Amino acid sequence: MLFNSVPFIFLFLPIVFIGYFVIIKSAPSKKASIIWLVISSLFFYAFWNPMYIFLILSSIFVNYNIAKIFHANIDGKYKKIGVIAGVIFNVALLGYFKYVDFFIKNINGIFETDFALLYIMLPLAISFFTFQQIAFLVDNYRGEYEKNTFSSYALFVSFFPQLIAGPIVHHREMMPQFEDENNKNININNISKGLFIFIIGLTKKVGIADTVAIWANTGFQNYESLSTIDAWITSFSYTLQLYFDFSGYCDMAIGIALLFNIKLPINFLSPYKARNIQDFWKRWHITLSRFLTSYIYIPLGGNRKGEIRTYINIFIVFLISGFWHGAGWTFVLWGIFHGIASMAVRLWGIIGFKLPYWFSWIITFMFVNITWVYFRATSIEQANTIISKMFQFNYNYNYPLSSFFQKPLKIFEAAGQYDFILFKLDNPKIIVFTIITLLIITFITKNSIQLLDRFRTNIKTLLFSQVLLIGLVIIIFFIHKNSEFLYFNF
Amino acid sequence: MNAKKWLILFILSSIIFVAVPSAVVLGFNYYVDPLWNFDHKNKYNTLQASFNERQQKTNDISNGKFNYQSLLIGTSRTTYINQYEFQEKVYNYGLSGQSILEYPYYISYAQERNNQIFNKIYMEMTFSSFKSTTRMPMEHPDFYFEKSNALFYRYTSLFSYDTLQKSLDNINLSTNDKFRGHRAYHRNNVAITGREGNQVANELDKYAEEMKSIKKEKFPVNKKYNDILLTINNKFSDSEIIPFTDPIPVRKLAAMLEVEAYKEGYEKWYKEMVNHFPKVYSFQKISPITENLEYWIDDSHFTPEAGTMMIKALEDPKGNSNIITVVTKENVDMYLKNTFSELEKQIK
Repeated sequence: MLFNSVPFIFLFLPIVFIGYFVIIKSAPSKKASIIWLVISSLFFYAFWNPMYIFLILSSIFVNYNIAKIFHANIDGKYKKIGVIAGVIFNVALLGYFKYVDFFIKNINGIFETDFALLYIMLPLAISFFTFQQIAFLVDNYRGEYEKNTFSSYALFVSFFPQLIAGPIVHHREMMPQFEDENNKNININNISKGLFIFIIGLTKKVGIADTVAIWANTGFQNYESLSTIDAWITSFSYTLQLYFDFSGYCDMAIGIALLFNIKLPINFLSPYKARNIQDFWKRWHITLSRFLTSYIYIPLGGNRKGEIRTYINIFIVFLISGFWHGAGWTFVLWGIFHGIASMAVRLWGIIGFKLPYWFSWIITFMFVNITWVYFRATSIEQANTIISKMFQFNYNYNYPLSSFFQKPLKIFEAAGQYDFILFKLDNPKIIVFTIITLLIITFITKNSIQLLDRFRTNIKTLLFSQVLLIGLVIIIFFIHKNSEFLYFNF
Repeated sequence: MNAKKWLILFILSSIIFVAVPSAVVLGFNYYVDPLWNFDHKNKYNTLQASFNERQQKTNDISNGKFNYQSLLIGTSRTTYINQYEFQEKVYNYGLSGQSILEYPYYISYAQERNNQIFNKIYMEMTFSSFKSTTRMPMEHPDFYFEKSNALFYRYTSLFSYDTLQKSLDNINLSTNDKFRGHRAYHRNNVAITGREGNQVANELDKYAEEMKSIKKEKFPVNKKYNDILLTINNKFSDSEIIPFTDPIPVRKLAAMLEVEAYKEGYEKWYKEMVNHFPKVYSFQKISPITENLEYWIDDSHFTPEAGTMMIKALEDPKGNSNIITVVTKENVDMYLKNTFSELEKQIK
């Protein structure tokens, strides 16, 4: 059940929302509302695959009980064993479900063995709840803990707005909010803000990301036949898709949580405005960077153990980040590229190398745009082909460049089935105009977090939300297709 | 403006500008129902365009009260067979371009949805499916099953420009005096055609010309054919499977079998079928249907009238031996010999 699905918006969310406040008003126990949210979140999780509910429950149960050991008055040695066992448990769980087939494939490839693949379906959210719980365990081991109950811990792990795609929340910022009695009243202001940012997120996800995805998918599918222009359209489309998809989802998560008076951390802050890769990672998936810094980079020694170790630590963090994003060499390579770029930025900073603002911004954006090709590609060969086509001029059309905007783009022919009456999505004018407009939006306009900060209940915000909503409904109306089967001969 | 007022205005404007227009579209598409998700009938949906029978018939099965004694499965040819002409209650799951590789999936789906085990499964057998070029279509049957069973699909599919266009097409079809297209359906899964078949003779001439240019030494046999028939036999062993071969216009069959490789393949095909099924009901001999071009819409598709004659023959082969032959392991050689010699006489 995705946030942008009809069952979620029209059934699940209203029921959970109404149920939550009814329980707060009527139930004698203060815990009842938290338990209601836990049950709702587990239902939300089980809706995807009921079997994996046992996985998340056992993970919650094991981690909570290991953390409880740290609270007991026991020898430090046993605490250390506890934290190591806990981290191994989490990493092993993630490793088994996410990476085991990747390792089997590589072992078979290297040693010419024939171990059977397990074809394990990746449990939803496992990458997110594993990291959250590792942080919880480590902080409890360090003694940086506060009193908590099992129900609020279970909610911290499973809270449905952030469960499946982040942000990677920290127990210290979430559990006190669940317990805070001031958060248990209907807050009209938060509801207005929540709806406002939810609509922005929904528009980003459904209206924009899913539309540019049509070009990105078609381009990646036909990667061998791309011209230079097609290759750039493909890479920009994916760069935009990823941004609007992920940030849109995070906006929706923030909006949904606000309905329950819960504030989720900021995860995106105009990443394509970044002027170097370090800056980019302070703006893109901020909570992941926060986790990797606090629980990997700093424990490895951070920048405290000399320059070379600092570079090695940076590299390790990005290598892990790449591997965390997906079990494949394309992700590893993407992480390595970002690691090298981050090391370069540090080196340039130390030797005092400074580029003009606009130039460093262009280089950063182009670097991000090109490396996303590895992130999306199904093989390194596919990524290399697309990137090489981006830089080897090949027009590949049987009409002159001056007629480029006059005919539908052949490579994006499949997009032509999306008919918006006045135009179809294989129209080069529409493709180029949309990409440029969206890039400008990501480069210069205020982001959704800034819009939320400035949100006031006035006619301007009301109009803005309505325009988004109407635009969104129109796009859904035209994008929704029924497949056709017109082959009559047999 | 305070937050409460903002929220009330937001809800009100959303109702006026979003919910009401959306409801109009939803209501309109619901009334015409081009995707067959509901079962209401009215004067604007008496005729329905068949833009994708896989989705439409699967929706029909998923959402309606599906309770049939037997099932009919096959290609677009079988879509013209009127299911109500059978003496028992039969559902026609004939699908345009259905490959034999799809049969087990669609039969299984219909069986899962049915309240009882099918007594009989009438299964069309085509010579083309015995060719190695037989493929699954781009969309696997699971695609349609999943879509049809997705939560709220019946309602979400109504909010679409594409569905709206199909509704308008259906209103046009239903309110026009005469249907002139290839195929459209009544609300009860009965196909009609507006084609008059006056081009059939030309099409057959063209086909005969094409066949003359074919110089294949060996017929490319579908290597999966044996496995797929085994699967069907094993999987649906509780039902009686009635395999029947599609009628082919005499001139077409004669032209086809003049190619030695095809003749060889044709023989193999019959022998493969009788290896798996005790009886194969053939409509391919020279008969009133295969000889008379009035029973043809084009060189591949017979008319609904011929479909009704086929039903009667399947239900009573002895009484209709002029159009049907029951082919078994024992008589297959004789049947082929007779067919070939009759066709040769026909050519001469």
